[in-house]
Amino acid sequence: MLTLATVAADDESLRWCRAAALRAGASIVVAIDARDGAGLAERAAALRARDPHGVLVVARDSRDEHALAAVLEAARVAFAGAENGPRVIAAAHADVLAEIREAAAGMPFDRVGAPSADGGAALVRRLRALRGGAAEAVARVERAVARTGSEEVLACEVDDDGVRAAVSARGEVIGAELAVGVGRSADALARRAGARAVRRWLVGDAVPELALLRDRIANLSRFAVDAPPALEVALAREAVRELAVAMRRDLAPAALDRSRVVLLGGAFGRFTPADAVAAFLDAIEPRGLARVHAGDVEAALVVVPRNEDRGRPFRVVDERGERELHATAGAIGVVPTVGRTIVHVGRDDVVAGSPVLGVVIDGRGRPLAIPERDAERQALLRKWAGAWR
Amino acid sequence: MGRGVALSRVWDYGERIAAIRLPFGVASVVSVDTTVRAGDIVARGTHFRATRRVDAAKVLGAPAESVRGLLRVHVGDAVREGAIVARSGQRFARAIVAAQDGRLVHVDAGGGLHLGTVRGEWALEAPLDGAVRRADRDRVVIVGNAWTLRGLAAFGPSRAGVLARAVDGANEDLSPSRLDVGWRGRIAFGAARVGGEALTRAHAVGVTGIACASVSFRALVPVYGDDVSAFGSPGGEDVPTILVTRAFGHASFDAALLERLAVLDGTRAAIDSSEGCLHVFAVADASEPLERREVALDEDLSGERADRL
Repeated sequence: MLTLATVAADDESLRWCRAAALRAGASIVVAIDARDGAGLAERAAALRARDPHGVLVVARDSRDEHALAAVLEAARVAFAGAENGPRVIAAAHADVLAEIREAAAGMPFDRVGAPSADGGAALVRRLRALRGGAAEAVARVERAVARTGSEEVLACEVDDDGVRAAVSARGEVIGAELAVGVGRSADALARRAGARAVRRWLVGDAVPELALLRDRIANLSRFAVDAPPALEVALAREAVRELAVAMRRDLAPAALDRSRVVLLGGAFGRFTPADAVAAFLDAIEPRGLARVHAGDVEAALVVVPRNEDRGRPFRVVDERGERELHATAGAIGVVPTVGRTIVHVGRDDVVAGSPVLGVVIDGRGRPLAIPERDAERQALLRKWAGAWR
Repeated sequence: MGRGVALSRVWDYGERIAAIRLPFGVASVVSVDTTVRAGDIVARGTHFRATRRVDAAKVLGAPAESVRGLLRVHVGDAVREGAIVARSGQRFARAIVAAQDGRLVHVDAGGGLHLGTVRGEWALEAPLDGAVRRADRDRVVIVGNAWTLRGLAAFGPSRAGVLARAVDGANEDLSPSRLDVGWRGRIAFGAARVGGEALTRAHAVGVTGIACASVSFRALVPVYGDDVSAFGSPGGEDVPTILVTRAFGHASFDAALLERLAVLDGTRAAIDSSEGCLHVFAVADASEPLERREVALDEDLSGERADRL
C-alpha cells in the first residue's frame, strides 16, 4: 500500500490531494493544511509517526509557496538520516516550485504539472507508478469501463485487497480505489468505517455485539479463511459505500447516479444475484434506470424512481407482454420477467437480454435511512430482505 | 496458517535483529558496539508541545548563512528560560533569549531558529540482549541471540521482565484476582484468554507484559482505542503490553509451548511489540524448537474451534 502525507494551503488543493490519492489507490495517513499555524516540531513529529512513503504537495500559486516550504522543511528534519525517507511529489506550475524544492533538498523529488491543468491525470499516473503492480487492479476496472465505449457505465469490484470502481464522466474514465475490503483488508474497513457501520447490515437472530464482530473481522483479516456469507456481504456493502462516499465528495458526484450499466466483480461474483444487487443498491444508492451484471450473470434491471418520476407508472415489457407498475414508497419490489426485458419510464428505457432476477423496483427514499436501534433496524432489513425471496 | 505468520516454527533459538525506529525529537542514543540488555534505555528524546520560529538573521542583523556560527547552544540542546541562544556583535550586542524552557529544534536555511517547548520526555527500551550495530537519529539496531516465540499480534510498547507462569492449564483464562504487586516486573504467560479487567489490573500492579493465546477487542478497544488493529498496535506510553499468539476472541495456549515456557519460568525475557514476538534470554540448549500448530477457527470466526481447545 502506498501511504501519503498530503500538504496543501488552500481548500481546492486539499481536494486535489484527496482526489489524486483516491484515484491512485493510495492511502492518506496524514493531511497537513499548511495554513494551520503548527510549528516545525509538531509537523515533524506527526510525519515521522505516520512514516508515509510519499509527501504529496499540491500548490495553487506562488502565494502558498512559503507555507508549503515550511512543511517540507519539517519533513526533511523528520526524516534526516532515514534510510528510506519519503519521496516528495510536488504538483504545481514550474515557476512556483523553487522554494519548495529547496526546502526538500536531499529528499527524492518528483515534479508533475498542476492538477488543474490536466484534471490531475499526470499526478495520478505518477502515484500509480509508485504503487507499481498493485495499481493494476484499478487500471483493470477502468479498462472494463473503457471497453464498453459508453458514457454511462459503472464497474465496481471488491476483494481481499480493497474496493475499486470506475465510471465514465465527461469523456474520460475515472477509477478510484480504497484499501478496505472483504478479506485481509476487512480490518482496515472496520477501522475506517467502524464496526458499527458493518454491523448495521447484518440481519438475523445472532448478530454479534460490536467488540465480538471486531474479533471476527480481525480473524478474517489474519487467517486465510472464508468469511461467513452474511458477514462478507455486509463487508462488501460497507466497503463500496465508503468508496462511493469518497468518490461523490472528491471526484465525480453525478457520475455514479448516471450509470445505466453496472458491472459488479470480485466478491460480487460469488454472491447470489439477489445479494449482489441488494448490496449495490444499499451501497451506491443509485437513481434512475440501470442494468446490473454480477460477475458473468445479467442479474437485474433496476428502477429507482427519481423525484420527478415519483407516482408516475412505468412499463415493463418482456416475452409475456406488457405490464404497468408503480413503485411502492419505502419498499423494494422484485418483478420476475421472462426473456428479453425492457423497462420504460417516461421517454427513458433500459433493456436486458434475460435478467436472472427480473426487474427490481427500489422505492426507498434517498439517502437511505437506517435506524440506529437494533430492533427497528432488524425489522426494516427483514422487510427489505423479504422482497428478494 | 495465519497470513501474517511466515515462519513455520513458532518457537526456536537463533540470532535475532531488533530494529527500533525512533520517534522525532531524539536527544540521545546509545553508542554503536555497546552491549545492552533487554530493558536498558537505548534512546531518549522529547515530545514537543509547540515550536516558535525566530528570524535569527533579522534579529541578529547577520546573513542567514552565518547564523549557525552565532549560536550559543547546539541544535537539539535544552535551553533554560532566559538563556542566550544566539548572540552577535561586540559592544552593541544583539541576542536571542529563550522565552521559555525548551530545546533548539532546528536552524533553517533562511536563518530561522525553531525553539520548541517541551511537553514530555520519551525513552525507548531495548527489546533484546545483544550488541548495538547501528545507532543514529533514525533507528537503533541490536543483534543478539534468544529463544523466540512468534506471535500473531502485539499491543503496547516493547518491555522486558521475568517470565512467570500465570495459569495452571493451557485452557485457563487469566484471572485478575491472581495478579498482585508480587507480579511487578514479570511477563505473565500461558493464559488462554485475557479479559479487559485482567489486562488493566496487570498493568496497574506493574506486570511488564502478557503473552496469551487470545484476546477480544472487548478488552483491547477500551485500552488501545477504536483505531486498534488486528495487525497489532506497537508503541504508546502508559498502556499494557500484550502478545497474542493464536487468535482473536478465544483460543487455547499451545500446550507444548506452555510446557517449554514453564521450564524457563523465572528467566529474563522481553516482548518486542514491533515484531510481535517474545524473546527469552536463555542458552541454546535450554529448550527445544516447536513447529506451529495450525489454528482452526470456528465457522463464525469468533475464535479457535472448541474441539481444538
